[in-house]
Amino acid sequence: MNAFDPGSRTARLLAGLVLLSFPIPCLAGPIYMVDVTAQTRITFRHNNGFSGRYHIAETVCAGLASFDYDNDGDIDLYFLNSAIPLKAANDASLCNALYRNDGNWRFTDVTEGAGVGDAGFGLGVAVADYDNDGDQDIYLNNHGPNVLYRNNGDGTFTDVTSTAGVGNGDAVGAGANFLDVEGDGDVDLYVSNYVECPDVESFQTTRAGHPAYLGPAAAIYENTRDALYRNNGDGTFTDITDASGIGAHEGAGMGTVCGDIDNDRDTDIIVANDMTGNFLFLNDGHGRFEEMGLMAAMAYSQHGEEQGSMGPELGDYDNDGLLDLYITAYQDQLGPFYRNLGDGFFEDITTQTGAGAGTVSSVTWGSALLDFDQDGYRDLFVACGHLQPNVESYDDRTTYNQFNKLYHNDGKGKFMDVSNQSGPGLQVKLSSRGAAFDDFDDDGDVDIAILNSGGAPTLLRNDSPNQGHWLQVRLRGTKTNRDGVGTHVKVVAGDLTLVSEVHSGRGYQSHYGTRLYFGLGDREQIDRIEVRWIGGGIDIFRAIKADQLVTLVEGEGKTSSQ
Amino acid sequence: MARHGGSKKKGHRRGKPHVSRRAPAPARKRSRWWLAGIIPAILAVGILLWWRTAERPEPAASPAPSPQRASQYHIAAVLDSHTGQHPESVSDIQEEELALTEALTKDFPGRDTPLSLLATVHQYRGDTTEAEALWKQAVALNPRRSDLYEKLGEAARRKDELDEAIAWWQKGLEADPQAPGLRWEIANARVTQGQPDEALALLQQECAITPKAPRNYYLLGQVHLKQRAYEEAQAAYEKAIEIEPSYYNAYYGLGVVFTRLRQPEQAKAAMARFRQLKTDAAGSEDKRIMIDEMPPARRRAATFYGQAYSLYDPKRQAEIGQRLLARALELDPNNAYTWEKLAGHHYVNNRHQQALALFQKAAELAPDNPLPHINVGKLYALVKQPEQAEQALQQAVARFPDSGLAHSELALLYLRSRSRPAQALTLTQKAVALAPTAHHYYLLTWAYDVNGDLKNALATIEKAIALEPDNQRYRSTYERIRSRF
Repeated sequence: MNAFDPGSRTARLLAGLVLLSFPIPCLAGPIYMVDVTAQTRITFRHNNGFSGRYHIAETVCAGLASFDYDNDGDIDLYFLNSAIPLKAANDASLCNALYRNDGNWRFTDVTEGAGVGDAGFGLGVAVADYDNDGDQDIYLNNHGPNVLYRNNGDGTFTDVTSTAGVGNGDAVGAGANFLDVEGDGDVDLYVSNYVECPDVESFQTTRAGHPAYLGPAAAIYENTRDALYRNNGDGTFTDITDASGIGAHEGAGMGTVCGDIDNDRDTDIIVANDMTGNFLFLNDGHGRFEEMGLMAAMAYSQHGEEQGSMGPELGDYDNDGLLDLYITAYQDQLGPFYRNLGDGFFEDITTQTGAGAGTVSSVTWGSALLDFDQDGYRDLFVACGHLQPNVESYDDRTTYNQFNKLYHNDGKGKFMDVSNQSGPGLQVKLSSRGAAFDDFDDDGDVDIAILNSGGAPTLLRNDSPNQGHWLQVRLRGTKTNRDGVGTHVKVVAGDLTLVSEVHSGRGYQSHYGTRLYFGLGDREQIDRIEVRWIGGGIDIFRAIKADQLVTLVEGEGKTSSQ
Repeated sequence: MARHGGSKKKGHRRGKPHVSRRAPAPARKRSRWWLAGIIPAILAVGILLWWRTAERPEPAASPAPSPQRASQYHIAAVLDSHTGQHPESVSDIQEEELALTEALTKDFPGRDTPLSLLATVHQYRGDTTEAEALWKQAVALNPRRSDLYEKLGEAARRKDELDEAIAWWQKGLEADPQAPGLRWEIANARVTQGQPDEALALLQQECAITPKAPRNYYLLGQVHLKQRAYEEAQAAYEKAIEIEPSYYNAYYGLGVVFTRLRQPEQAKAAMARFRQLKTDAAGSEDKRIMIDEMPPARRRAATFYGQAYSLYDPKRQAEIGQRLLARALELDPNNAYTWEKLAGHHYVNNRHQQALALFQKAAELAPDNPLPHINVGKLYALVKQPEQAEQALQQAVARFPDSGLAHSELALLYLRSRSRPAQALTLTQKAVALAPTAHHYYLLTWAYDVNGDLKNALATIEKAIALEPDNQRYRSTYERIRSRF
C-alpha cells in the first residue's frame, strides 16, 4: 500500500484535507461514511428478475451476507442475485456472487472456484457453521428450491441441500436463520416463506392508472406458514414445523431475526410479516414455540394496524441489557421501534425516540442497530428504496431510488437524523434492499455493504471522526455451536454495560455480525466480559484492553455455573 | 281536539323562565298557523336538499355564470365528449376528471371550489405539488375555508413535513376557531413528533367541539399511554369504544394498557376482541380493489360530477345540472347519493313525480339511509297522494326508530292535514327526545296546541326560542300562545 492507494490512511487523510477545504456540512456529524464501491473491484450487478409478469418476488429481492468464508480473519461478501433461474443458469453474471476480501477495500470474485454461484432466484440468506467443523456454511432462501452450501474448509463449498433435506419445496422464500432451538449444540434452521402465488400469466395491477406490482395482501396471494428444521447433528435435518408449533401460524414472512427476547436463555424468533401481524415465537427452551406477537405488542403498529414489515433488527439501544427491536416498513408507515420491557413485552417508542423519522415517504428495508461512532450507544442505519419502479409517475412524494438514512443515538433516548451530515456515503441514491454491517477493513469500526435492487452494490467505509474505543468479539463454541449463534455477551467497562448476541440471519433477509461490535467511548479497558453460551454455561473474561478483536473460546473463561 | 289558539289570555306568566330580554316580534293572527306549518315543511325539504348538495361558503363577489344556453358553458363540451362513453382505463377516467374540473375553473373563474376540486384531481394523479399550488390559490380566494387549510396540511403530512402541516392546520384554526378536526390533526402530528404533552390540551379542546368523535378519545388514550398514565389511557379507550363499539384500534390500545398493568386476562380479552373486530372490518372488497382500480376510480369520478353539480344553479342551469348528474350515474349507477341529488334536482324544478320516482330509487339503493325514505313520503304529499305519504312516512318511522326527522315529518303530515292530533303529539315528543332541535320543539308546540295543551305549548316554544333566540317565527308563536291564556 502506498500513499496513493485510495484505501490507505494517507490517502484518506488527503481526501479529508481536500474535503476540509470546502464548506461541506457533511463533516459536522458524528458519523462519516464514504462510498468506496468504485475501488473495491466488485463488479456484481443485482438482477431483480423483472419478467413483465409483475411477480411480487421481483420487488423484494434481495439480501446479502458478510462473513469470513475462508477463515483468513477478514470479512468477505456474498451477494444474492434474483434473475430468472433459466436465464441465470446460462449466465454467470446473473448468479449469486462471493467476493473474497483481500484487504484495503479490494475484493476478488471467487464465486466460480468456491462453487456458490447459485442460479436460483435469491431472496434471503443465513450463514453459520451448521456442521460444527470450523467453517461457515451458507443457506439460501430462494423463490424456488433453496440451497444449503456446506463449506469444505478449503475455499470451496458443496451443495448438500438434498442430503440435508432443507430444500423447502418451491416456495417464495424470505429471511432465513440458523439458531439452536433446543440448546443441543448445533444450529437448526428457520426458513421464512413469503406468500403463495398462483400460476398465472400476470400479477400486474395499476396504481393511478400506471402498471404496478400488487402487495401481498391482494387476494391473488395467500399467506403461508414458515418452516423449522431441526439439525440432527449428522448432516441431515428434520422438518419440525408442526411439532414446534411454528406451523400453526400463517403470515407473509419477510425478514427474520432470532434472539433471546424474554431473557430466559433460549432463542426466540421474530418474523416481520408483510401486511399481516408480525410473529414473536417464544421458545420454551426445548424447541416448542408459542406465538405471542399480539400480546407482546409488536405484531402491529402502535395503532394496531398491520405494517408492510420488511426487516427486523435487534439491539440494545438504551443499554438496559435487553434487546430492543426495530422493523422497517412500507411507504406511509413509520417503521416501528419497540423497547423491550424485559418480560416478553414491548413498548412502541418510535415517535418518542425519533427512530426512522423522515422515512414516511420511503420504503425501508435493511437496518442495523450498531454503534458507528463507538460512543457507547447504538445508532440506527436504515436502507431505503421504493419497490414500484415507476412510482414517480403516479406519486410525486417519492422516488424509486432513495437516500439511505442514518440516525445518531444521543445516549439520552433520542435518535437524531444525521443523514445529511454523515458524508458522501449517505448521499448515494439507489433502491436499496438488504444491508450488511461488519468491519470490512479491520480498523475497528463498522462499515456497511448494501445490496441495491437491479444495480451495483454500495460499500461504505466508516471514517467517523472522534471515534471512541472499541472491542470486537469473535466466539468459538466448543460444546455449544461453534459460531456462538445465540450466545449472549455482556461487556462491562466502568460505568458502561453493553450486551449483544450473535444472530445468524437478520435485518432484511441478510446475514452479518458474526463478530460482535462494542463501542466503548473513552473507556480503554474492559473490566469483564460475560459470555452466556446458548445451551451451555457462562464464561467470564476479565481485564481486557480495548481496541482489539478478541476470540473468546467456550470454557476458557472463568466458568460460572449460572 | 282542542282548537288551535284557544286561549286569548295575555301576559307573561310568573315563574316561567325568562327566554329573552329582547322584545318579542308582533303576534300574528291565529289563521296563519297553517302557514307556520307549511313554511317549515318547505324549509325542511329545502334544508334536506341543500344539506345534500351544499358546498362551502363562496365569496359573494364571485358570480355564477349568467343563465345563457347550456352549450356556452365549458362544461358542456366536457359533457358532450364524455356522456355515453365508457372509460376503458383508469387513465381515461383521470383525463375525464381533469377535463371536468378544468372546465369548472373556466366556468367559475375566481371561485375557490373549482380550484379545490381540480387540486383534488391532481392529488389523485399523484401530482401533490400541483395540488398544493391550486389549494393555495383557492384559499387565497376564500381564506375562510378551513377545509382548504386542512387539505394543505394533509398534503404536507403525507410528505412527512409535519411542521409545515401543523402550520397549515393552525391557519385553518385562525380561519375558523371551531373547525372540527383540525386540533385533532395537530395533536396527532405532535404525537408523531414525540411531543404527546403538547397534544393533550388540543385533544381536550377537540373533545369539546366534536364530543361524539371516537377518534378524539382514542388519540387521548394514545397520549396517556405514551405518558404511561395507564388508568387515564384505559378510560379514554373505553370512552372511544362506548361511542363506537367496533373501534378495534381502541381495543388494541386497551389490550396494551392491560398488559402494562399486568392484567393478563383483561389484556387477552381486549386483544381477542381487537382481533375479531379487525377481521370483521377487513372485507374481501378491499382486496379486490387492490387488483382492479376501475370500480373505485369510476365512483370517484362520479363524485366529482356530483360536486360539479353543486356549483351550477339547479334552476337557471337546470340542463347542465341534469346532465352532470346523469353522467355521474353512468359512471356509478348504484350511487344512492347521486340518485338523491337527481331527485332533488327534479324537485327544485317542480318535477315532483320524477323526483318521487328517483327518491324511491335512492331509497332502494340505500335502505339504511333515512333521508330518501323520508323524502318519498314528503313527495307523495306534494303530489297529493296523502295515503301513500302517510304510509311511506310510517314505514320510515318503523324502519328508522332512532330518526327524529322521520318522526317529525310524519307528525308534520298529521299537523298539516289536521288529522290524528294524538299521534302527532306522540311523534313530536319522540322527535324531540331523539333530536332536541328548535324545529322539533316548534312542532311539539304545534302538537300541544292542537291537542289543547297550551301550558305545555308555551313551555315548549320557550325551549325552541332558547335554542334559536333570533327565530322570529318562534317568537311570534310564543306571543300568540301567551295571548290565549
